[in-house]
Amino acid sequence: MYKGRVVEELEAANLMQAKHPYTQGLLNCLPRIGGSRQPLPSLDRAAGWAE
Amino acid sequence: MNLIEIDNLSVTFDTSDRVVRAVQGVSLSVARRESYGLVGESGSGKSTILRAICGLAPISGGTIRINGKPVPTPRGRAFSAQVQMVFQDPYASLHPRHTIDRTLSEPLAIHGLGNTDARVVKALTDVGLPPAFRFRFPHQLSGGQRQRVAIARALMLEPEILLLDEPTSALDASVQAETLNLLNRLRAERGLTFLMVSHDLAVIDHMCDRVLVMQHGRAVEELTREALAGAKMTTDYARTLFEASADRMLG
Ligand SMILES: Nc1ncnc2c1ncn2[C@@H]1O[C@H](COP(=O)(O)OP(=O)(O)OP(=O)(O)O)[C@@H](O)[C@H]1O
Ligand SMILES: [Mg+2]
Repeated sequence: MYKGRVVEELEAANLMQAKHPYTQGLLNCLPRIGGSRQPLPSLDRAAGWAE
Repeated sequence: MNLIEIDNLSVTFDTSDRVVRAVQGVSLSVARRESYGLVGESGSGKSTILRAICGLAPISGGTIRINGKPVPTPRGRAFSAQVQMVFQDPYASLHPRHTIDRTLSEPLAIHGLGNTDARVVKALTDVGLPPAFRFRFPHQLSGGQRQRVAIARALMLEPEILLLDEPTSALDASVQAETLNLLNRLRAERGLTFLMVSHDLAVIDHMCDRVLVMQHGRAVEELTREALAGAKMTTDYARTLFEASADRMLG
């Protein structure tokens, strides 16, 4: 969900197949075990997602 | 010498109906400038360890030393200038009817530190918030902004040690990322030492050099970051936590 609206609905197991940029963006922000120690990416909140 | 040394710590809550052994004989030590994690299932005693350090949980056995000295009871001012805690829920930990300005200036007043205005403005800027936020109340901020205020408050007295109890578990993935980045930057800039609780192994892996896996109030296994990333755990319980880690499902 983004700003009170559903942007995408998926089976939890298929989360990596998310198509919507907001869903993909959120997944990108998560740290991973064994991942890099560089600063994590965060979302550039595009206003268009709420429309 | 280690900055934090916990030796054989036990915490027992004697409630009216039962006795809860929340922490049983846990030992750990954290070097200066190290970041050390605590993970484990709900109720395993992680928060109780942080609370015991701050004098907020009854120690029934063992010792806690900071910089080689046993912690005093009550903890007192010198302790709060050295050790500060950040809680999971910034809404509950900030006074709802105090402005951010009052929240941030209070520790200065208690410790008789002057130059309040400049320090408050700098504290907000350091955590990436506009100085004008000092005139707001907690409910006028987002969850991530409130957690930044809680971090700013913890840093007002320039402590060496931050105890972080699930500081991002109330935040969405993007705001979590921003908050973890902020904490890492502050640790590097100020040479801070972290003792951090999380239920999320990937967060611990990103933030910590070593991690202690806990279960039922006991220490199960200590892992370096390399051992965690290489799945080199030796106990079944640590392996179960690792295999169940959400980030592994993401591929
Ligand atoms: N003030 C208290 N009085 C009685 N029991 C308590 C008190 N505080 C904690 N406990 C008990 O001590 C145990 C450890 O609690 P603690 O909060 O340390 O767990 P935790 O590992 O932080 O769990 P979570 O991941 O859910 O935050 C639990 O069984 C809890 O119910
Ligand atoms: Mg807890």
